[in-house]
Amino acid sequence: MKKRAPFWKRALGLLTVSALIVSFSGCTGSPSGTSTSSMSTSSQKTPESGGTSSAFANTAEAIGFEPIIVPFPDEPLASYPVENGGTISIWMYINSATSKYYQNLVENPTVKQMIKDTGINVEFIHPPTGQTKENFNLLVVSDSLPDLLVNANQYYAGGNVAAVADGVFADLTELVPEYAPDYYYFIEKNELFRKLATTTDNKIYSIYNYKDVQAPYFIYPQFREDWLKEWNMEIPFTLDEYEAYFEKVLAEKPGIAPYLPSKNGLEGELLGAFGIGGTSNGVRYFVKDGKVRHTFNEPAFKDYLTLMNDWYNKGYISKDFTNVESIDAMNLEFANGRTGMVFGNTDTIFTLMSELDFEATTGRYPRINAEDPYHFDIFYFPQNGNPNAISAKSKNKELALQFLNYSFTQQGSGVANFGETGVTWNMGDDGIPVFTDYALSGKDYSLSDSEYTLRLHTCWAKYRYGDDISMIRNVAEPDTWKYRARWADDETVDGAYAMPTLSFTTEASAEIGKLTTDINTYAEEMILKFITGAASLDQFDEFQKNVQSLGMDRVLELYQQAYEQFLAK
Amino acid sequence: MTLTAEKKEKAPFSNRLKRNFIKHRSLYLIALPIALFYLLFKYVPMFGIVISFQDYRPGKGFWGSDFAGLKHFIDFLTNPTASRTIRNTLVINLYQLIFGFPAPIILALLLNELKLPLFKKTVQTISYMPHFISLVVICGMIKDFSSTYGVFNDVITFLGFERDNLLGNVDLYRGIYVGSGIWKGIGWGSILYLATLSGADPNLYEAAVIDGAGRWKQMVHITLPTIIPIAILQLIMRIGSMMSEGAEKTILLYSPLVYEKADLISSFVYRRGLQEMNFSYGAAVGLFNSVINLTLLVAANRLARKATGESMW
Repeated sequence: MKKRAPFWKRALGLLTVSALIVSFSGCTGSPSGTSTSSMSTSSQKTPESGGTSSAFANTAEAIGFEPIIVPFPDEPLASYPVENGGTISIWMYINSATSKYYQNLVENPTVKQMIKDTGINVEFIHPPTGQTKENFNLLVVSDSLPDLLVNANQYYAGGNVAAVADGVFADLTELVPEYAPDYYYFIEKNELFRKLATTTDNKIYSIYNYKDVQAPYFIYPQFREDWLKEWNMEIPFTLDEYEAYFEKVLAEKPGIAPYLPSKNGLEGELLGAFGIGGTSNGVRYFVKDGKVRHTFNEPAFKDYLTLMNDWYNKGYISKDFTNVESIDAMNLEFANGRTGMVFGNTDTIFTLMSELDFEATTGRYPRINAEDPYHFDIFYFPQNGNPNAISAKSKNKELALQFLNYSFTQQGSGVANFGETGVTWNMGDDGIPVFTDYALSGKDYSLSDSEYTLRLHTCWAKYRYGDDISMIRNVAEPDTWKYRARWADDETVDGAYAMPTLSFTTEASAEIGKLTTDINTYAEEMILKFITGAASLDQFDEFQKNVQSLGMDRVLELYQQAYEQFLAK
Repeated sequence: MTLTAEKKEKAPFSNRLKRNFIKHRSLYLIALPIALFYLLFKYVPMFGIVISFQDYRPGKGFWGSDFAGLKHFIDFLTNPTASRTIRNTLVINLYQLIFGFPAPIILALLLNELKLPLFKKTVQTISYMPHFISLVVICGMIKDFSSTYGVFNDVITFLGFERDNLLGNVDLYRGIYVGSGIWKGIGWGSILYLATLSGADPNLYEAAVIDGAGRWKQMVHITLPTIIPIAILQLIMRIGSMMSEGAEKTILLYSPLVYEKADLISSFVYRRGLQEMNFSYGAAVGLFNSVINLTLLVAANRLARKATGESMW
């Protein structure tokens, strides 16, 4: 049986893991054809330098727009506190880390500061843990939706387009310029943001996070540093070097699987090495030469499957990989020394390193040949997800918009990102908020808990500062950030093939949903069979023909249409 | 004196009903909440079946959603993946019927033969402990034991075979699924039969012993016939749920490697529903299942009545 760390260590580890996982839940985009909108290579700390990395430039060239950093206006466009106050109700998910301290978020200091500054009272309605979707659907059906719905688009079939068509969400196009002028300011000034935050016909149905700063992605290949040192090996980079590492693990560490891939066999970063990849969160669409493509449809997919099958037969891949449920479990397998390599979460692994006493290091994204470029880094899109919608039957639409708008002003975004003014942060001389010593001290709460108590890490839509300056943990302990950002300056990596968040009509969404369920069921089964050898790779051509007959071409057609409409907006 | 041809006339039905009500009013009063419960939670919601004929969207409600006719039914029946799930559901149910149904009966018969009360009670208690363990915990255990370096594989290696990811092996999956189900339910299921057996007439046994019947003959001629009525009823009810194998266990144990034999109607609809949040589709499949189940139930009941004289109605 595995040896168990003492209880408090495990509890701390678990808490940190869940805190970190949740903190990145704010990074996901809307359900209709997403790519995550977190950042790309350069890890500068100031907003001004956002547009200079090559990744940015390559994708920018592909999509055809000018990279731009939008500074705050000298004066906020709306005045606070508002004249006629009132109360709005907010439906918002409260995660387990936060609910340890606050039953209702109205007690959180950030919220109290917001109420004081805006003059608008709020009441929160939190869905019970694990029942977010059901709770939302219940509210929809019983016609009792609160005014503001935070990140609920994913729970309504067809997203916000369908929700507005069905009369559940409000169309905000007319109201935003008047009641949320600071948010509208960013829409007007940043064309890419406008394209990402509006629907095909330029309507505003949700308010999104705005992020001007890039940050490195948090999934990298993780190797055991102590073993590399023992064997005098460099950190593997090309696939041949990976195999050498695996061979060593097989030889020197019996019973330990050299590599644990994700449970469906689709390792985003490896697919990226073959030029057909998505990222670890399963995105499989990418844009190359102006056309939307899908991993399954590409000829190079056969090379990927051949490689994985070869690795499986040689024993490099753990035979139980289909049973490891999630990336958290994968991180733990690696941290517990039961596998030699995972594509894991850098922040989690870094935390676990001190808890569980092992040494790990990140590697660069893998390539077939050393001089190959890598085009599948997360691209910096200014729309950072977290769609907030307003109920169509709400009587307080204007108030809700005014409330949200405050988080897009300079002072308001300081509150929304950093917490209580003067207590947890102060405005720096260059207009960028800085944490106070109290916030960084970890005195009243542990550093990871502070993200949810002293400030509000996951919350409503706001102008979002980069994780490196707005997360207490990263500022107080810069090593975590350094671990994550180690390879961020890699010039050969860019997000040139990334696909922006697209908006679909209700009918298109329904059609895509139906076709992709069938395609995914079939493909996931066949992929695992190819990898484990249950199906011979000679059947690959037949596999692709079947995928096409299940409707892949139609799906790509719909995506292409949406993509072209996006560019033309 | 001529026999009067008229029978004494029965009072009209409404009068008889009224008298019955008054005479047994406390019984009716006790039964009232239960009847209301079934009315409110089982019959009234049946109106919701209407969404299986619509393209239901929560925002539009029952009256506002578009009419879709038989679209979802046809979609389900013509989808190649879906027909595979129907086959899997029936096959797994058949396995559970053939292996899982007799198991509690056999256990009950065996326990009945035990003489030492302490031993009997201990065995009984141990046998129905798994019933109380949550399904999620059990599936976690199964996954752990079936992993390549888990307990099952250690036994397999001991017997001379190679290690394998058991839950990923298409041929072994159903065995593990059904086998673990039997292990979990055997103890609890045997309680019903043991209770029936404890009501068996001891005089019959004595008479059989006098006639020279051995233990085996006693069991076949006395014990078994005592159980048969209950067993038939249980069987009929089992058949009446052939199409509705629950999704939880499947979802916890399966992986795309074994979809071919593991994917059930419920897990397929779960994935479909999660992707599209298509309530109408789920309702349509549910309705389809219920109709099939009802047909099977009525047929099984008829068959049982004809074959053995026992039936539910």
